[in-house]
Amino acid sequence: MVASSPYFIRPATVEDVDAILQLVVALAIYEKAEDSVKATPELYRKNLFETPYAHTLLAFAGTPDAPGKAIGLAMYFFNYSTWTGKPGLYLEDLFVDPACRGQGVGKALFAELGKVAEEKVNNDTDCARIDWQVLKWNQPSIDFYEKTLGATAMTEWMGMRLEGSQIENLRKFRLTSS
Amino acid sequence: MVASSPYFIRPATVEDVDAILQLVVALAIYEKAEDSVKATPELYRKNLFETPYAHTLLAFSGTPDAPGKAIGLAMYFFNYSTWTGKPGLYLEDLFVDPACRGQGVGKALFAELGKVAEEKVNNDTDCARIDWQVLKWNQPSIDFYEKTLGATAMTEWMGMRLEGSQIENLRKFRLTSS
Repeated sequence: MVASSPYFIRPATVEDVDAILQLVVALAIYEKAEDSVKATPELYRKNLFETPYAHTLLAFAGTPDAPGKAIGLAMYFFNYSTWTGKPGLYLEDLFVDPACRGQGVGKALFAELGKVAEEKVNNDTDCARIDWQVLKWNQPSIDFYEKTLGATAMTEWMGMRLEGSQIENLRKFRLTSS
Repeated sequence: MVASSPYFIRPATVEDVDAILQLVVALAIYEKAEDSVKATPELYRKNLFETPYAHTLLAFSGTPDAPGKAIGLAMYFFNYSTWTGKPGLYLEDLFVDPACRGQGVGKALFAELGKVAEEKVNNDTDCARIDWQVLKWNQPSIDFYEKTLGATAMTEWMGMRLEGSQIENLRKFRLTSS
């Protein structure tokens, strides 16, 4: 008999939106960006479950028959690489409640992501890569990614972003007025 | 009458897969990664047009009635941010033929991306952000992004990646054998 772990992982459902938001806020606090979370449970209901732009895995304390609270989250969507020609899995958020660390929850969440990546997306193609971002000062996480998971740091690349009025400012470059 | 530009932009179709691959290889050469392109026109046919994992805009010299060759490309897909709660536009590849630079093709491609981001995705929600990555040594592009477009460099973040055997190695962390 396989020894049971004190937690389990399942895909999130629309009933989980409040738990998702709590974990997202906790992650933002850890990332020193608490005020950055503008999302609401209603936006998650709409954009994660009505027309899902991302997929969410939740780790819960306890067992499926006797679940406790949500203690971890992995949210991902599928990206695309013109170099591999195949979709990839992009991990947008990964978080484990600090009180529940050291029990393998992060490793188990990554294992589930690996399973998603290896299996057929849309019964069609596997994923060539799993990609994500980490804050450069977040050494505990970097150590986990590099030493435990064997991941590669993509140090040559830098992210760029446009939002809000910056997106509106692009209108002046349109070829024709529209 | 609006003065016509010596190029135009349209969404790519499946007939464009060879042109797309040529531009992707040219971009990889510019990024000093020529051997990294493993994709084929068949993979693009399947993953860009049969089950599209990304959307492609192409810039052509000439006019829609008398088109020349493909001189630029912008490929994107929709991502998701738990902080905004809304989808975003992720620009995977942007390339303009070096011979055709300085004519505003890059700006016009970004304007089209801005239009996509501002309009309703799936008649449903606009995009909160436009995100992409740039190689840190690619100063001409960084200058374009920061000075011409007013984009923000996301310098606090670093990319991480798992691929190939690294993804297979995650199997040992699964909670139950499967």
